[in-house]
Amino acid sequence: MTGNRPPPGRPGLLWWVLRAQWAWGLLPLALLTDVSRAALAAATASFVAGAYLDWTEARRDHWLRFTPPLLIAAVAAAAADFFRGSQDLLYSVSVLVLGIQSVRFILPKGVRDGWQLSAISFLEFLASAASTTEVQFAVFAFIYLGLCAGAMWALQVQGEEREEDAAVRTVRTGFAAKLLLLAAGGGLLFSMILFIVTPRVGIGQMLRNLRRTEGITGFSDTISLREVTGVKADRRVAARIEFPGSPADIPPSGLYLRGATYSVFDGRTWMRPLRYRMRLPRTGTQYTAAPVPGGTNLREADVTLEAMENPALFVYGTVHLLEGSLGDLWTEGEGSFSIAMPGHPPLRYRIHFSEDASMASVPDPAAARRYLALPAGWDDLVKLSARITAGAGTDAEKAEAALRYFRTGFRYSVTDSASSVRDFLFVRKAGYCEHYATALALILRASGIPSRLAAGYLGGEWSDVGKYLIVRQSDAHAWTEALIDGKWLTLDATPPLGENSPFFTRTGKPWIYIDWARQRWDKYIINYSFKMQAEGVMEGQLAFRRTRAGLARAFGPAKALRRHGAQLGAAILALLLAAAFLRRMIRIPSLNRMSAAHDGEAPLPNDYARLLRRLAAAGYRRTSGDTMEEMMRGAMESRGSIEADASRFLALYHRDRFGAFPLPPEEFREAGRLAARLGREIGRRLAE
Amino acid sequence: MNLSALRRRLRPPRRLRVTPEGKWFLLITLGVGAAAVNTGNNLLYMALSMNLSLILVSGFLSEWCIRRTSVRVRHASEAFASRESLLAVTCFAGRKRFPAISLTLSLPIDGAIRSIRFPEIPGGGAATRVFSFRPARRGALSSVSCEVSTRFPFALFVKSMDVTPDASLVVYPEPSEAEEHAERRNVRESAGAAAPSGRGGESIRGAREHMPADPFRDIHWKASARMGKWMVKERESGRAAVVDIRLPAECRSPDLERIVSVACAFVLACEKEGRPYRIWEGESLRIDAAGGSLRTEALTYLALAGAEEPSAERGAP
Repeated sequence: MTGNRPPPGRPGLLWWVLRAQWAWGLLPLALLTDVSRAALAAATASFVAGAYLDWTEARRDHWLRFTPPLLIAAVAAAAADFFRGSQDLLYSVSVLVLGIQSVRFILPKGVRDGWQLSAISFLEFLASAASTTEVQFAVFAFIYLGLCAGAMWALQVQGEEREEDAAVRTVRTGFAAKLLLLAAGGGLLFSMILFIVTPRVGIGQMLRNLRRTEGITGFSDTISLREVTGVKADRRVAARIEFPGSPADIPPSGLYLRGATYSVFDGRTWMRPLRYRMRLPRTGTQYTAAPVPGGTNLREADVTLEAMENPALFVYGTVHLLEGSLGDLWTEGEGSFSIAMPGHPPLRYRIHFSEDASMASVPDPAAARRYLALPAGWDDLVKLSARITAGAGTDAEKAEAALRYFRTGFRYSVTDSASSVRDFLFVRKAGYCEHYATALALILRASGIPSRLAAGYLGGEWSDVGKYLIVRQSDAHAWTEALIDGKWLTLDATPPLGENSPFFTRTGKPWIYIDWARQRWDKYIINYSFKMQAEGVMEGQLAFRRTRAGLARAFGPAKALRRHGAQLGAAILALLLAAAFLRRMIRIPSLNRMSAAHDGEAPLPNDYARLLRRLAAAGYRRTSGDTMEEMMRGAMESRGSIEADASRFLALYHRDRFGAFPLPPEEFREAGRLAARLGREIGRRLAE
Repeated sequence: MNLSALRRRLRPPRRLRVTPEGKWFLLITLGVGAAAVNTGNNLLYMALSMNLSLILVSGFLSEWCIRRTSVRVRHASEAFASRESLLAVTCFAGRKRFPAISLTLSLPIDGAIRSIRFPEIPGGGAATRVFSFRPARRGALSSVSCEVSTRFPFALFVKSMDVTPDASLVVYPEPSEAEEHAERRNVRESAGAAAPSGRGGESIRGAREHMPADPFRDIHWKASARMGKWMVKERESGRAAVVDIRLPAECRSPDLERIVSVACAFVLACEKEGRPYRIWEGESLRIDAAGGSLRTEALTYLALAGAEEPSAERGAP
């Protein structure tokens, strides 16, 4: 079909799309992973060079002899990355793939090489998928889907040209763009459906998840006085929490998100008693942390934790039940939970908790001794505690007195803080949450009240858009928990600063929307699970029942519904039949394709059409039935100078329009050039 | 209904064959699926979904491309048995708004499959390819089954369907060479006395439908405008004595092929010279071209002489 050829000598849209697909895999690798930057730079440089060489159609067959040494160099680079560089198998394999890709980019490319480069690009895309959970990956994936469609189409076209042994192939830019958009849109729709319905099973038989955890630090097994406040300068989001059973418009307040509790203090550092760890009983994806007493009104929270380099799970209040695909869960019996791995990718789980601490288990005598232990030689602290709690009869009164003690004479300061707890209590009286929490815990211990330090997050920013709580690193906090009257109570001696806090973080509306997208991505893509699929099916069944019940209400009892349904169905069927009949009636004339109007004739290419218009404008069209040849011969008679061009053009024109096969590309280009030249010549004469 | 007809009816409307590239694609998809199931990584599930969706998109686009495609096969020149002739194959895009892309038409000709490619046919339009062939025997061929296939859009699968083209092909008998030579001699000897005709004649004798091999200068514009299709002029110079061509009444005689071949040569010679002629079958007058050219009718009669009905076995092109 000569009428739909792209302009000669210029690569079409598919040429660019194919190369874009080859290079697109590099982008997520560069932006979302830690693959060797040198390898990425080499691949990018060779891509640019290769694209330029392809554009100029430079002959470089003799370069093929350099392939083996270049591939050996790529293998050596991958080995060096594995042993000396990233020491990560996935990243080293990526370096090898990048090396092979770099070599392929600069060498001449046939159709088979094109398919191989596309496959390499897909492998890079897979490596990115295995290495990241960022929401930006969604954008890469969507564009990549369209590029894959375009690249395969380009390769199909090239393959056909090779089989035909003639480089005449025709993809109009507008049509290609529309079809690629259609393919990308349709592909996205199908992808979403398939993503939702594909059963989520993770058998883990051959390889573990290759993703390397590089997340938030802090909340390790030991913390010093600087540990929590040290992370508060970080504005990254640590967790996003939804409260399914709560009213959506009322943000929760005063909830302490506990990550870890520490009961052993050596004078400078708090530690966790790891030897008391025990595994939580588990049924499927449900973990029972504590029995639920009758009449207790439990709250629910869906926690989406970002990737972390510590095993802590963050919970509210007293947790009774945990749900999620978390593997083995461990607890020290102190209200904190951890997973079996030292770090984790983004996690999502649901907790069922009670805000009050009345259900907390009373520690055994050995543990109770741990909660009362003070560092050796802290007699001054014991005296201070006795002075503070003098006059208080019960533990609750002692705790209240201790809290009251910190409200006067102490100030919150990050810049001028005490260097130790003793410095905080007796000298400087300035510090931050760890100082307050540690000092309160020690005073309570000195007065005989078992107590511990808890670390986690307090509060957060409520998202009005998504109705969830955004917890940032800047919300990190430490507080005290004390066992009073058989209950673990949260005691916070740190003065509430609110918006005056140096770490107070609030974002504008655009960022709230971006965070909402991220939350949805984490919830519905990264943490999409078999459980969510099952819940979706159940919700679908419920919706179906509700609809059926609604219809029954609208149309009366079931018998009447059936009768009305039959009538409705008959009416719809009749309408459809009528529509089909009308459509057929309307389409009959257009279906008569055997008419002579389009009888095997291709549309006239633009160059030819333009020349015809020029000839007609110059007065060479005597009757409406005059052919190109007749008009051109008329022009030749009056203008002898165009005779050579016109004769050559007519020969090509006749072969192109009426010959058995399309013209080869170079002759088609020549015909186009001649038509343009003749048109210019005739137009110039006309102007004269 | 016999077994083959039943099998044809039960055959799925489309056939799908996986290309080598498609096999690799399926293999990679399978690998991604295994990795996704193994790791439980949802982004790998997303990559798996993308691959599967590309397969679905490929199926839809290829169906849009191939659906309702129709084919017409006709002669681009007169076809004589054992002589090179041209066949024009026209493929019509089935959809008005969607072009038919990368179509390959597999047409059984001369006992071999001829592949004809149509890179792109605009929506609602058509494209014609002309190729040469050498029919083995004379006769009519009313139906030719061919296969239309496409690798569009991604070359992962070849989707194909059977099409019965609109074709009424008649292969004329092979003109007897001995008679041709004799006629040429006659023509040379009678040059000047006879009435040369055909395209070189002076007066227009009639018009017939245009064939792709006809030059454009012969187009009869007024007749074309009247008929709504391209017509070409037939010319003649004058009148001459009527030549009678007689075939045996019993058209199943063992010498029939030779007789028909000779008759064909006579008809061609008469047409070339513009001489009037008649064809008799025994005592029955079958073709009377004494009043003007009846070339097509005469040759068609000779092509079908002795045949009960047109069949694919006889005179297949």
